[in-house]
Amino acid sequence: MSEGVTPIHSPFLQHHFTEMEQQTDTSKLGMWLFLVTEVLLFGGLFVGYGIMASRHAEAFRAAHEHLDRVLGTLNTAVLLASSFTMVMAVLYARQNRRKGLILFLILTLMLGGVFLGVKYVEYSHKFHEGLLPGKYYSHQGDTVPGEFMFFSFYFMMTGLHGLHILGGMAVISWVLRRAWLGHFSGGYYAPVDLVGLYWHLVDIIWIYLFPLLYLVG
Amino acid sequence: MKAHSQASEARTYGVVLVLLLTLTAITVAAAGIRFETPAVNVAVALAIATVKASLVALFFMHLRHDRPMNALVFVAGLVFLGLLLMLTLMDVDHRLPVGPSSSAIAGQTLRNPA
Repeated sequence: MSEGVTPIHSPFLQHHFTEMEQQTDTSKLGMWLFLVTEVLLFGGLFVGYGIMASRHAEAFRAAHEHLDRVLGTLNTAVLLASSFTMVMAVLYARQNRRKGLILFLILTLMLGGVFLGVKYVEYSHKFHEGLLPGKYYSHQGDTVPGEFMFFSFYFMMTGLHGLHILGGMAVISWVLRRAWLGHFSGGYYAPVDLVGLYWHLVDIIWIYLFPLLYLVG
Repeated sequence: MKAHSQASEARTYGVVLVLLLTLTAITVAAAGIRFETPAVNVAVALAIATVKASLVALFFMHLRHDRPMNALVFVAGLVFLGLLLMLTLMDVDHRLPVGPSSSAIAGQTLRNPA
């Protein structure tokens, strides 16, 4: 690392911290605590899904055949790649390389956009076929009763996840603006780091959603 | 934080990405295999997902070199998620069926047929 010396009067050191390192460690711990609440938020849905899927295995297995595996796999690859570009952005921020930081943040945003675009295609297809959650389910020609239950979970889980992608893109845009303004340096890049942690967690959630919804039902 | 050379760190991230994509291909392929019961498919898929999630947490989220406190917080969260899952399963697996017939079979030992 190139001279990790923090300027004594960093303009980004808040008055209630004595030094940058303390501020960074504290904010990072706070971020991890927030991520745990996210794990538990999605965890409730995963537990519900697990119970209903084990109780209505046939309906869930029949219903998951309606999902497009190719698009699901594509989106998994897109999101994994976006995690890579995000961690590269953090690396470039730490190394004080502003151009690389900006480039990788833009790449991450674009991959997030691709993910949502694919999701849009998938959702429109489901809407068209009447594969909707709960009482709005109107798909014809089901072989197993109860397939609507799968789609209630599908839309809740991927919908909540999609909102998190959208939120992630919003905070990445904010970090991008600050990078553009030249706020970050080797001594201060915590916002890039923390937004990265959030983005990776959203990726981890998808890592579990993808096989459960698309592959094994 | 360890002082890595810049190039080696970027290379590590690249290798992790390749591993993640390979594991994705493996999990898709494994879903096509017909094991004796579909439960094996679920177990295989979850195991691969856990390896992938660990790679992301250890390398992309820097837990490997980070202060242990952050990892502790994360693992504690997962433990609570495990508690939620276990206690909920214990509840729903040992619950009397609710319905008109429940009074008729109350008092008998019940096993959920599902």
